[in-house]
Parts: sequence; C-alpha cells; structure tokens
Amino acid sequence: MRVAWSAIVQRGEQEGCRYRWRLLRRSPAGQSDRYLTSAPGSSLEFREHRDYQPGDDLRYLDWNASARSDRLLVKVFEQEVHPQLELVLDASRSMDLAGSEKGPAALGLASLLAAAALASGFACRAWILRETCQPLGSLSASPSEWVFEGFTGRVSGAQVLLHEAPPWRPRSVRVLLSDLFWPEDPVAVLAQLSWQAAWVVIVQVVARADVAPSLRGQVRLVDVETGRVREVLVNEAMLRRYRDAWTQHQEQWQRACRQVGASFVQVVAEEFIRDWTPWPLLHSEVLQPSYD
Amino acid sequence: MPWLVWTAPWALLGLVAVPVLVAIYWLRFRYRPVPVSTLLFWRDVPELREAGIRWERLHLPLLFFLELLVILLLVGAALGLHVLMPDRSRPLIVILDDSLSMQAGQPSARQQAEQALRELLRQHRFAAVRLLLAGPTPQWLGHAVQDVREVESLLRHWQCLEPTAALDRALATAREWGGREALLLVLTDAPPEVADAQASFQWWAFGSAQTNLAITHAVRTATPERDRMVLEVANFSTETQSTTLSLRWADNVLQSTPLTLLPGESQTLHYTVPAQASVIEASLPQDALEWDNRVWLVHHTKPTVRVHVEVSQARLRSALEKALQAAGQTVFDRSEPHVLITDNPARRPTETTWLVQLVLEKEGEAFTGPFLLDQQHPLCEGLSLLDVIWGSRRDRLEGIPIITVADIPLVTETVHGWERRHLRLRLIPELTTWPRSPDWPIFWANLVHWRRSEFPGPATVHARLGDVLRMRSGRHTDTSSGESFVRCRFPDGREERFVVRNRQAFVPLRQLGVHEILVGEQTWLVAVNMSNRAESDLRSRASGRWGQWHNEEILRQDYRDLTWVFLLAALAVLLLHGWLAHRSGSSS
Repeated sequence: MRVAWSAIVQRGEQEGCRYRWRLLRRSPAGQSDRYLTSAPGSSLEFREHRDYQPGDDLRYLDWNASARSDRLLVKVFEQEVHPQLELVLDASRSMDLAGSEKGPAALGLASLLAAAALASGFACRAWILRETCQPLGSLSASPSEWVFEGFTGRVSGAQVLLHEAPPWRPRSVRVLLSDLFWPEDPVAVLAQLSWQAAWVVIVQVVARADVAPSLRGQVRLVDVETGRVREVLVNEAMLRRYRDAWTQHQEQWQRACRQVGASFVQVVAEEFIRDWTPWPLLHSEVLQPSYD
Repeated sequence: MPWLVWTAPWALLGLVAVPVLVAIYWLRFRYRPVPVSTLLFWRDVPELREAGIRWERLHLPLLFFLELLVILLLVGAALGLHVLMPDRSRPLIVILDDSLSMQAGQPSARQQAEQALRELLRQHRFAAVRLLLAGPTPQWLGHAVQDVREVESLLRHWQCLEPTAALDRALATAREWGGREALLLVLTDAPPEVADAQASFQWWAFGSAQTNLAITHAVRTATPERDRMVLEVANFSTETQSTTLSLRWADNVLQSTPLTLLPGESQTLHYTVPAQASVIEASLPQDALEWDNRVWLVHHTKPTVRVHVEVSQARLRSALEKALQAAGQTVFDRSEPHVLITDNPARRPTETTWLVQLVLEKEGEAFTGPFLLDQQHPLCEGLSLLDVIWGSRRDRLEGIPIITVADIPLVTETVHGWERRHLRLRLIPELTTWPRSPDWPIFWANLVHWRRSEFPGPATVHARLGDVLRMRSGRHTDTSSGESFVRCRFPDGREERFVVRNRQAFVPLRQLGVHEILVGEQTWLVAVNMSNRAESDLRSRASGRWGQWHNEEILRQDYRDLTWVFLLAALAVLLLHGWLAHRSGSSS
C-alpha cells in the first residue's frame, strides 16, 4: 500500500474508534449474534405503523389500520441483522479525482466505517470494486491490514456488481462507498446489493467539483475513468443543464434506495477531510458517537 | 501614377493590435483540459463538435474575425488610403466661334455645330459644361452647367455676330480656367492652323468652301461741298465673278457699278457723293454671306478746334502756329479758345479752355535723352524724341510727368475739374532742337486730336460690328432723376438708354446699320459695318474633326479618399459584432 493511502487508512481507523454503528441494537431475545436495525425489516417483531410511501411493499399494508385512519399505513417490523459488515469500496479512477479529496475521503470513510463496525462488535469484511469485486483483507481484519493499491478501476462498478456479485453473508449490513457515477439503473444495482441483506447503506462520496463544478469557457472535459474527452462551452446555461442532470441522477438513486429500504448518505469529500467528522452519517443516524 | 497611396503610413503601427487580439482570444478560448469524475452529467451539454450546434463553435471565431476586421478597417482608415479610380466625367469647355462666318451656308455652320454639340451631350455625361464665346475677346456664356437643357438655353445667346473670332485667345482662356482636367472642344467653321496634340482637345469644324463677294473696305471723307467715298470689293472665290455695286441715299439709287472680279481680286472704287446725303448705303447682291454685302457711310465733319497762342518769342510762336495748322481743323481764335498756349505764368483761362503753359527758362542743361514717355498718354502717340536735344533746368515742375529725362520732368499735366487740363512744357529754346524735329508737329497734332476727342459726341461715326462706342456727353444732359443717359436707336428700331458716368457713355454696337445716338436735342449718326477680309473669305472653310477623346480621357482619374469607406465598414462590422454577441448571450 502506498504510504499516503496507509496514512489515510490509519487516520480513518483512529477516527472510526470514536463512532459506533447506531442502527444496531441487541435483539430483545438477548441472543448475542442477533441485532435489529432501526430500519424496517422482515422479522416477525412488529415495530410501528407509518404512512405508505411509493415503493413500499404492498404486502405490508395494514388494511385495518388504514381503514380506521383513512390513510394508507404500512406495518413496520424490526429488522433482524447478522452482525457482519460487508463494506464495498468503489476503487474506480473516478473516486480519485485529481484536484479533489475524493480518494482520501472515500478510503478514510471506509476505514472509519470498518473501525466503527469492529468497535461495535461486528465482523467486517472490506471489498474492493474494480474490474472485479475482491476482498481487501481477511474477515475482521483491521483496516490497517488492508492491502489497498489505489483507485485504478476503469469499469463501472455497477456492471461488476450486477454480473459478479461477491458472496456476501446473508442478513449482513452492506455498505457501498462510491460516487455512484454509473449509467446503470440504480434499482438493479441496489436489488443486487440488498439481496438477503439486513440493511444497505449507500454512502455517496463526491467531490465538491462534482456537486458544483466551477468551470467557465471552453474546456476539454476528460473522464478520468474512461479517458473519454468532451469539448464543451461552459457557461451558466450549460451549468444549469449539468445541475439538472445531477439532480435527476441523485433523485434516481434516492428513489431506488427508498424502494429497497436502503439508506442514502452523501458525503462531500472536502467537507469530510476538513475535520474527519462524518456529519452526514451522524445526521442520518448511521453512526453515533461512542460514549465509551 | 500608383493606383493606391496612403497619407499616414505611421498608422500601420495600429496593426500591433492584431497580435494583441490574437493573444487575448488564444488565452480566452483555448481548450482547457479539465479532468472530471464522469461525463454522465455533461451529456446534455452540447459538444462543440456535434452537428447541429456548429454555429456555436463558429460564432466565437467569427467574433474574432469581425474584431480583426474592425482593427484592419480602422488601420486602413487611419492610413488615409487614396485609390486612383475613375471618378466621374471631366468638365467640358466648348469654345463657340461667334464670328459672322458661322452663319454662312444652309444649314449654317452654327446650326450644324449646335446639333453636333447636342448629340455629344446626349452621348456623354460631363461633370460640367461651360460655354465660351470666341469673339474679338473671349466671353463666358453663363456659368458651368450640368443639365443639357441649361446648355440649350445658353446656346440661344450664341448669335455669331462678331466681326472676328479670336480662337487662340479663347483657347488660352479655356485652358487657364479648366486646367489639365477640362476637355476642350472648339466649334468653328475652319480647320485648325496647327494640329494640337493634346489628348483633351478636339476641334470640330462645320464650314464649307463657298463663293463670296464682299465689301471689305469703305471710307467716307467729308468736305463742305461734297463727300468722297472709297470702297473696296473683293472676290473670295476660285472663279471670276461679275456683280453690281449699288449706292443708295434714302430710297434713291445714286449709282450702280457693274464689276467683274478675277479670282481673289480686290477692286477699289472711288465715288463722290453729295454732302447732304447723310447716309449712303453701298450694297452687293446677296450671296453666301449676307453681312459683308452692305456698308453704310454717314456724313460727318470733324469739329474745328479753336487755338490761341500767346508766346512772346517769335521763333517759337511761329513753330507752334505752323505745327497747329498742320494738325488740320484748327483755327486761331482768341475768344473762348479750346486750347490756350502761353508763356505767361499768370494767365488763367476760362473753365473749358485747356491751358498749355510754356515754361521758358534761361539757364540750364541740354539733355540728349533718353527721354521717358508715358506711352499711354494721348500726347505721346507716335512720339520718339530720337536725336532731340532738350534744354531744361533740373528743378521740379508741378504736375504729373508725361515726358521726362532722367528724373527731370519736361512736360507735365494737371487736371482741373472734368474739362480743364493744365499742361506745362518747359524748355530753353536756345538749347532745344525739338521744334525742328518731326516730333514737334506730332506732339501738337496729338494735342489737337485729344482736345477734339473730348468734344461731345461719338468717338467715331464709322464703327465695326462688335465695337463699343464711346460717347462723350455735354454738360447739360442731366435728367430729373439725377442720372444722365445717352439714348441709342438701333437699326432694328429698338431704343436703349445708357448711363453717362464721368461724362461719357459706352454703347455696344451689336447690329449692322446706322445707329442714332441722341443726347438731349442733339443727334449723331453712327454707321456700323462688317469689314473683315478674314471673315468674308470662305474659301478656306472646311468640315472635319481633329483630335479624339477616349473613354479613359473623358473619365477623370482621381485619387479618392477611402477613409469614409473604411469607417463605414468598421461601423457596420461593429454593429454585426454587437448583434452576434447579443444573440449569443440571449441564446445562452
């Protein structure tokens, strides 16, 4: 591993010890290997009613309660979780955009999440997503043991996941760290990712230049992943078109996440690197500070 | 002559703006490589290479080229470029032969010339056309005009009534006015004497050789009992001609003389006519030129000049009297003389008497010349004073010098009022040979003639067509309006008044025949004749055109300032630039 990457992993590991996975709690049965998530699940333990949202499984509609309240209500059950985190890190070239903190942030976040999982008593296995999805280290290996060779992937991670999904442990918590700049349908990707998963957390790591590019004039855009070039005239109108496409892409992923019950968190790399505090993950209650 | 010149070559420094503009555009519009995570979100942004949006790629360079063009145009304007190009047609000066011979023939040369000029103006457009009448003196006919109709109206004043046409003087006047730019066209009835090689010059003649007999000279001398007449008749043809010369007085034929004239022959005829025949008309039968077939001769006796000589030296007085008698039409009369010649310095004559004061000196020097004469003065006409010894002192003499030697005035003149002149003539008789020289009677004859010319009446009673008659008026011609007039009744019956200024009026003589000049109750007859051998001789008249204009000669090659073109083009390009920039902003 490059020294720089190892330093980032170490930093992430150190920071990760300050956090715990909030979504996990011991099951009421007290079994040591059974955890329930805050997200609705498919266990037999009823949790609450909530308003129906598009994408909810119609099988969970509580017709009686809906008739009483004159609203469509779905039954939310507790999710039974196996205490293992499958962490998938997108290592394509786009994750290490030059001039941004995207790469360090993604790797640091992966290290942080893995350390937090280990500190939460989870087993953790990291996967690296390039042309194939390969384990980054042995099961429950600490991040410092990872052998990371950089963001060098040249293909869409979605295609890899769709065609060659790794053998994830059923009912595990699966975390995907990626910029999600994939042309494929996010529903299919998420369906693959959430198959037999207890919970799926999509952490979108983007650079500020991805969210709000500050380009003007005639530019030759070079796709760092594919090497393709596009010469465009960037002005305010063109930027508006970019933002429309961006918003549409984000909405697709968010909608798909809601559809499969996944959590969607967006982390801006530069903001994370500034103080290494995963504010979006804390706000979305994926992590919580450790009070140990 | 280069076809393109510039007046401000330093303006080429403005081209420095071109590399500056190129640098600005290169820095601004070069393709800056920017790595991006994905092109996924740039799919909706049109690529400049894509079809259908090519104009967006092009309009930026187009703006550059427009700005480049503006710079070049402004530099071009600052250079002060002048291009040699056909500007417009050149001005045309038409010299019209205004002599009587242009009326010969049927159709006359004048009619043919007018028609030719009309066709020329129809075929070519000139910047301006100006007509110059070639009479004895050139005379512009109106101002320069451009409209053919204006030319037509001016041509009505081309009447061909002048006794001669000084074409050389007219050409000089035309060239002086028109410079090198003007095209010259001479319309006459005779070929040019010397072919002019100038390209801008054409000579069109419309005459034809014709047989013509003319009265080329006519004189009438008056005596108390009878008048004598001398007439000269010429045959301007290549064949022997027979004709009859008739003399008429009023409606009476006084005499008819059959004549046979050889080719080119002139015959002089002498007649004696009654003195009471106030007007004698001599005429020939009508031929090619009507105007030279008739002359009018009026009876006129020269007025006598009264002279009184008061000189104490007998020899000098004798010389004076002999000279004055030789002058003719003089009488010695001491009562109200027209001229008083005296050596008495205290003598003061009446108001109308001219005083010639002889300043006879005792001591002085004898001068042999050179004598300076005021050649414009009437007294000096014909004087030379060669080999004359003139004795005089060196002191000054009052009056305006007429004859001087070195800076010593010998004869001076002082004018008192309109009519009285005071001449001073100094000499030492013992040292002076002038009274024994031929210049002595000439001087006194000049004095008598001069004094006579100041009498009321016409300067001459036999004038040539085209002359201006000087008419001296008397002292009592003032009218109630305060102005004095001389009336002239022309041969066609028309009467016209001419204002008298400085006791003289000038009457232009534009008609052949007898004019009546009326001043108060007095009437003078003035005969106007056309006697000019050159005009009457139609043998050398011919038709033809000499010289040729080419189109490039008609078109004036002129340097035209192109600054306004460059500025206008720059403004247009700037407007286009602004519109494109606005359109680009709107479409964005």
